[in-house]
Order: sequence, then structure tokens, then C-alpha cells
Amino acid sequence: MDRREPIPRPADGASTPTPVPALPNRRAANGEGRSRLRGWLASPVALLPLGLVALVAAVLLWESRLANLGPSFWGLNYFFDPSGGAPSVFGVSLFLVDSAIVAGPALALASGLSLAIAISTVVYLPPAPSRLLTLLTNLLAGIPSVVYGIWGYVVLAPYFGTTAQPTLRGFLGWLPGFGGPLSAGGVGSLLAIFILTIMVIPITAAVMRESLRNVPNDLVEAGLALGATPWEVVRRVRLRAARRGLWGAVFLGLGRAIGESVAVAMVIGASIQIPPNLYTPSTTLASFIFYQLDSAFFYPNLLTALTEFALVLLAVALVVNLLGQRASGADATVIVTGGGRG
Amino acid sequence: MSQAASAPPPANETLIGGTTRRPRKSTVGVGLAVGLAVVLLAVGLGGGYALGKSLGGSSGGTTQYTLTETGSTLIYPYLNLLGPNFTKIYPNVVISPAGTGSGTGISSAEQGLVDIGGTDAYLLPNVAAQYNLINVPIAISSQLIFYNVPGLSVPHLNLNGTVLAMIWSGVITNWNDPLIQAANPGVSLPNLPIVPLHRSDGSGDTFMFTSLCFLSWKGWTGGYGTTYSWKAGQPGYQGNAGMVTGLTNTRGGIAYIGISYLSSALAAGLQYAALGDQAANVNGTNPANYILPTPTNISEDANLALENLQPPSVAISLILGGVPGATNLQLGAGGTMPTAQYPTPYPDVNLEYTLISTHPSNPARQTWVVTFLEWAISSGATAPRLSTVNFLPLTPAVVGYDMQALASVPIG
Amino acid sequence: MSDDGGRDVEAPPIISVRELTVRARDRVILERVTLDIPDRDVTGIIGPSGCGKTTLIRTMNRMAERSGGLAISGSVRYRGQEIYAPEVNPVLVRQKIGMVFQRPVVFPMSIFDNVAFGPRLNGLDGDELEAIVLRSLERAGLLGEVGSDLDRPALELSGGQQQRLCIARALAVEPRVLLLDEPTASLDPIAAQRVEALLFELRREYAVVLVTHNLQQAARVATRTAFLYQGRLIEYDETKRLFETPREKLTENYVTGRFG
Repeated sequence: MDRREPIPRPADGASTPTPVPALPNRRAANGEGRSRLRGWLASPVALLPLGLVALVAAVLLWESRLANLGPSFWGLNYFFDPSGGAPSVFGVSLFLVDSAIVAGPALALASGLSLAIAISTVVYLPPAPSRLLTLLTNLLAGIPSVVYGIWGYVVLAPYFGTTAQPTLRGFLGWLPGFGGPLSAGGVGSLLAIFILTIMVIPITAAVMRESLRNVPNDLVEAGLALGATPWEVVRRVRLRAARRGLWGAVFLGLGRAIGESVAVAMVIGASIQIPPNLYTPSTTLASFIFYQLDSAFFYPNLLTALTEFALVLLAVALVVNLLGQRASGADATVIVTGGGRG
Repeated sequence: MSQAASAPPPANETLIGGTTRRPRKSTVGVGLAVGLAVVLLAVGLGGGYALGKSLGGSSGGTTQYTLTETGSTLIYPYLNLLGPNFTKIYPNVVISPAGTGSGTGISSAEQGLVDIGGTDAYLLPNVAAQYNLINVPIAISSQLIFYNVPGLSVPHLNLNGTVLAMIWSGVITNWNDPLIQAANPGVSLPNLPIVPLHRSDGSGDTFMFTSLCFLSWKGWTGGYGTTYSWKAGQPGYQGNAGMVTGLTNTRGGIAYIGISYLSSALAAGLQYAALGDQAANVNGTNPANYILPTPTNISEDANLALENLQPPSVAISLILGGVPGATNLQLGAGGTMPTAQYPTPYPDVNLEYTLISTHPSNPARQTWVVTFLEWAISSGATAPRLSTVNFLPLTPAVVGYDMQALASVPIG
Repeated sequence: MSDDGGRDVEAPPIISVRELTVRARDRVILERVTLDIPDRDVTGIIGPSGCGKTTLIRTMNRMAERSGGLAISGSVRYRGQEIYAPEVNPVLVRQKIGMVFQRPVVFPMSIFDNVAFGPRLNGLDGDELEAIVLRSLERAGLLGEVGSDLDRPALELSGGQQQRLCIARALAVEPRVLLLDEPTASLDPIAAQRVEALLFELRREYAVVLVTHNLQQAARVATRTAFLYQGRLIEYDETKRLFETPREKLTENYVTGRFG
């Protein structure tokens, strides 16, 4: 997250930036040699994650042998008869849709709240409350997901069943997805969205906070010197300059939201359906793989299906990750910052 | 210096007053963040941490063994109870169990990762033979049907396999359904939607329960197993503990829960049903055909089945009762038919299994595995230990089978 | 450059600083500084590094309070109004008293959007906005250089152009005072010269306060110059007089290059 590397300023007069003046030959040659050496040393390390991903993908491919990869695999239907009485249908799209239904709102909520937290800690709050808020959000990241799950179904589920769901339906019932039947025990998509939101916040908030903090003070002061209010500086300068980092945070959060399995499995109600509304139980791809795994050891064809699901999840995670890298890629081009002032 | 500047400045030069453009948003931002900080604080304080468990060790002159077990979460507390007592007798052996799930128990035993695999559902005999494993039952367990229906005048509703299968199939959707009313004459049933709960994780309890439904009602589709394609919208919970919590939270809910969780379910104010035997399917309105899961009734069911199995087998997922000549799951389809000897068999009973290797890589080590299991099904299976988890001792027929099987394991 | 020496000295000052003291936690940055900034003229502030000259101009548009832990006392008046009065909105102060920094700080957006930043805050748009952007670029002497393509990213401009863009951006808010904190320090001599010439031009319409460590620059551009040393105002006078016949020994030593 190093955005502070100074960029050489071009000389005046030219209308396009001129490259860094060449270093004396000897040093240039040396530096090049050294960096090539470092490159050689670094490449195995750099390739390690790639190799691991490839290995995981290969194992999954081998295990599954893509046995179920017919047209129905990409469908919206799932049916599995463990005793083999009826042919099974393993449609992965059902779970992808469910994952999107849960991860989408959770990510939107988490991103909004994280942005508020990041802006508050960096811009508005005095140092002590700011540190406290940072500490609290970081604390959230340290809580194991199974604890979120237990907290979700022991403490939150009754509240969601008796209060949160009916209240939300009372106010927003006219909106599609907010009306219709409730989940009596409180478990369901809404609770999963809530839990996921809290789980995603520490990640997105931390990255957003750093992005906003790394906006050069010069830019902020330039904005203020033009008569902008602090809020206008946030909106028109900080958010703009930190744009890539903020998007990176969102994608990082998306990866977490899609990949979380344990906590979601415990509160989502584990019903294999596209939920008719926000309240009813559903399932996500990651949580489905998690809670079906033990059964898969009994039933070989379920195991191959789950392995294929895992491949799809891996692919989705990789795509999200790559998009995130792209989004947050070249923040360093934005600005230069000086040190202190007199 | 000249103080001429003290003259009032032009009106457009005033520095006093608000910045009229969007002054609200900054306060919204701060307010939102402070409010959220409070929420986060509550969350932070509310979160607890699970405590790790430390394994004990012991020392002595002889070789030390730590026998590992993984699998069924129902067996786990029982082995946890047996282990230290076994170590008291044999200080050089420590039993290290782990509650992971029956599928994991089977898979780990197949791959030789553990000394003992624990499972609620038997491993098919042909598969067991393929991996050189044997099923060794160590206790009798049963399953209860709990419900959350406030204000009933009776402590136990009467339910039977047919009604249960119809409830989970979505055919019976309200507690005041005529079929439920017929089994509970004189009971005022509320007009309350039924919410059937299921286990989301792979589970021996699901195996038992879907077997019960499968055998009880012809309309049941989707078969039986540790997992099942439940009707859309029915909520699923992780583990028996999750079922107890979920049912407590769900007014009108009904759930199948392993008997190990009897006390926690009762503590949560839940009630359980008397289940109908085979005669109940013929005459569902006769209260005499509904049987409570008392230790006596559970034992009667187990005896009824296991004494009549031909040929003898312990590969049984659900003991519905004993019809002579039956050798597998199909026995007693539709419910348990009482006999004069066993008049009140509770029809939702199973065995808890351990899996061990018949071709051990370390026979000396296997000696202790066999010794432990022999002890666990005989002198180790004391009434207080069993009743702590609401298990029942094996019937003499099963103990005899086990001893014979264990004797066949090559040890060093 | 004191050819403007004969201007109307009786005109009221646009900024009056009185007994201004700024303390950090462990040291005094400015001590009882008193000076007047005349309107429509260039005032230079010189002094060695760390003498407090940057802090002095940052108190004039209330930017100093952004650096936490500073205690500011005394009085700063803009056209007679105390800018540190509790009811004063610093945002409005900064609209009247613009500032340009040592490094050219352009926003990562187009040339047009950079200059339009301030006017847009005040709700300008359409033709009105375009007019003010073009006028500001023209005043900053940049319009001819950047030509018609105002949608280019401002970061593509050279350093000197960027600094003049910053000046244009400040002018677009239509301030009365322009504070410049060593605006040519990071520029090459030719670019610096252009900025210098621009400042000299701007004195016709604005009060320009120029902090510089470049004595020649002060001598060329400023009508009056203040010399600060260790937080105290040592001497403030016509630039020519300050350089040629300083009253204080310290000033003489500094302007003759005995320390710096």
C-alpha cells in the first residue's frame, strides 16, 4: 500500500513529462544487475502463490474429473437423493445467485458504513475517539467467524424473527424482496447479510482508512485553501484521490463476503432455494460446500459435485481478486507528497 | 498604523456565518460514525471466544499411546467421558477424541488417519470390507421429536412416522391439521403454522429421521441419507445444539434431535413427542399405540430388532422394530410392531458405531484399540456414564457380536 | 523592484497582524509579530529556514490551525474584521485569502476541473463557469500555453505550468489576497521567472504575500519586505531600504549572506 513514493517532477517548459534523468552509467549498470538478481530471487517467491492456486485447481479438477459438468451443472436446479432412488441434479447457478443475493447487499452496506468509518477516523474525529473507532473495527476482524455464527443464531436470530423482520416488512414491504413470508426462527438471508456486513466492515474499513489517510496532505490543504469545507474536501478531493484504493477495498470485501462459509452456514437457514424475499432461508455456494462436506464423505457423487462447486468458487474468487487488483492498481500515479512544512 | 480599516466592511465581505452549501452532510457523517461506533462497541463486547482444549499426557515405564478418534458429535462426549476412566486403569494409554462429523469419521478411518472412526450411521458392510474396517457398535442411542407449541394441555403430543413425513414434505402445514388432531383426541391444537427444522450439516440424525419418513409414508420422495434435499424454505441448523437453539427461537417449529441433547432441549422449555408404533399406523387414534422414549422403551425396541435379525448384523441405521427375517433398513417398514415380550418399543432408535481396522499397520498399538473397545462395551459402559449422554447399554446380542468381531482383529 | 514606491501609502491595510504569537507544544514559533499587509501590492517575507515565515502566512487564512497542537494568540484582521473571532467561518476567510503552496499541488483531474474547483463549490456552472475558468487561466498566463485542450489531465503539465495552474485555480475563487509559500522553490529558473513575472502582474488587482528564501526574488518583486528571525519580526520596511540600509544588524547580516 505504498503510495508515498515520490515521482520525479518533469522540467518546466515541456508540455509532457520528461523521464527521470539517466543515472551515471556505472551505477545504472550496477543497479540493473542487482535488480535482475533480485528478480531471479523474487520470482520463485512470486510464483509460489500462483503455483499454490494452480495446485489447488489441479487437485480439484482431478478429484471431480468434471463428472457432472453437463448443461444441468450450470442450471438453477439442485436435487440429490442420497439413497440413489432418483437421478441427481447439481446446478451451481442456484448457489451463485444465492451468493449474490447475500453478498451484494452485505457488501453495499459494509462499503457504505466502512466509508463513513474511514472518513470519520481520518477527517472528523479527534485523535482519541478516532483511535478507539479504529481499534474497535480491527477487533471485529479478530473474532473467529464461528463466534459470529453462534452469536448470530443464539442472540440475533430471535430478535430478527420477532422484531427486525416484521419491522422491516412494515416499512419496506411494498418493495420487491421486502414483502412476503418471514422466517419464524429468524435465520435466513437477512441475518446472513447482517452478519456478513459486520464481518466485511473491518476489512473494507481498514483499506479505505489507509487509502484516505494516504491522500497527500498537500491536496487536502489545497482544497481547503480554495475555500472548500472539510466535507467538500472529503467529497471532491480525498474520495477522488483515493478512488482506486477505495475500489480495492470493495473488491477485497467482496472476496470475503463470497468466500465466508462457517458463519453464513450457521445463520442463513440452509435452504436450497432462490429465496422469494430477503427474510427466508437460502444458502450460498461457500456455505453449502462447507455444510455438505461431511455428507460428501458418505456419497461419492456428492463429493465430485462439491469439488466442482469448489472449482467454481475458486474461479469466482480469482476473478474478484483480479478485478480488485486492477481497480486498486496504479494509485501511485496519482500524487506526490512532500514532507513537513516550516 | 492607520485604523481606517475598522470601518465596517462591505456586506459581501463578511466572514461570519455558516457555509451555506450543504452544511448537513458533515454532521450526517459524524453522526453516522458515532452511532456506528456505539453499535460496534456492543458487538465487540458481545463477542466471546471459544476456549481451546488441552490434551493431557501421562508418563510411565511402558510405551505411551495416544489413540485418536474422530467423527460423530454424538459419540464425542461419551468417548470424552470414557477416555480418562480408561487411562486410570491403563495409565500408558490416552484416548483423544474429536467431534467432527460422521462422514469425517468414516473418511478418516478409511484413510487410516485415526485409530477409531466414530459414526452414527453404519458403514456399508461391503465398503467396510474394501477398506479393511469393521463396524463396532458401542452404545444405543435414539432420536426425539421436539416441538415448540406453547399452551398445550398435554406434556407430550402423539405423532407418528406418517404424520412426520407429511409435515416435512409440506403436506401438513398447520398444528390444527385433522391428522394431528386424530392422534391427539381431546387436545386443543392451536391454529399455528408448522415450521419443520432440519440439520444443515451432514448428520446421522438426518439419516435416521429421513429413514423413518421414507419407511413410514409412500409419498416421501428423495430417499434417505445424512443429507437430504429438503423442501425449499425450511430452515436448517448446524448440529444438535443449533437445532435446540433454532427450535427455541421458532414458534410453531418441530425438529428431530439426538437424545444426547435431551437435557438442554428440556432446559430450553421444549417438549418432545410420543411416537407411534406400527399399530399406530393402523389405528392412529389409540393413545396406547404412542410410545415415549424412556430407557425401557428404547431398550425394548433395540431388543425387538436385534434379537430377531436374520442373519445377525449390526449394520442398521434405524431400528424401527423387529420383523423376523429382515436384515437391513427395510425391516419393520411403517413402524414397530410390538410383541408380547416387548410391548412398548420406541421406534426411533439407532446404534452408535466405531470403525477400526482389521489390518492394522501397528499391531501393538491396535492391541490397545481393541482393549479399549472391549472395555467400553463391557465394564466401561456403566449406567452413570451412559446416562450422562442418554445412551443405553448394548443388548447382549450386540455385545456378543462385538466381542467376536474384536477377537478377529490381529493384534500384537 | 521598487518602482512602485510612490503608491498611496495612506490606503488602509488589507491584513493587520497584531501581537501574533504561535506556540507549539515545546517551542515558540512566532512571537508578538505585528505587521500590516497593504492591498494591491507585493509583500515579501524572508528569513532563514524555520524562522516561522510559513506559519505566519498560514495564520493569515487560518490554515495554521490545521497543524494540531498550535496555540495561536494575538490578532489578525482582514479589512478590519478579526478572523480569529469565534463567529468567523474559516471557510469564508479562505475564500477571500487564497493560498499557493511550495510544490505545485494540482488535483488528479483535468485542467478545467482544477480551475473550476473553487467556483463550482460556490454553485457556478455553465457559461459562467467556463468564463471564469478561461479568465483565470488567462490571468495566470497559462491560457496560451495549454490552448484549447482543457480536458487534459492537469498532471500532464510541466512543473512550472502546474504552479501557474495552481495560481489560476486560486484566482478563480476571486480572492482579495493571495498568499504564496515559496511558490518557485521547486521550479527551474526559467519557470520560476515566469511565476515571478506573473506575481508582479497580479499586484495590480490583488494583495500578494510572498514567502521566499530567495533574497533576489524578494528584491525583484516585493514592494515591502519583512525579515523574520527565530519567530520574531526583526525588520519590516520598503524592500529597497531593507536591503540597502537595514536598521538592524541581524538584517544586514542576513541580506549580505553572512548566514542563511
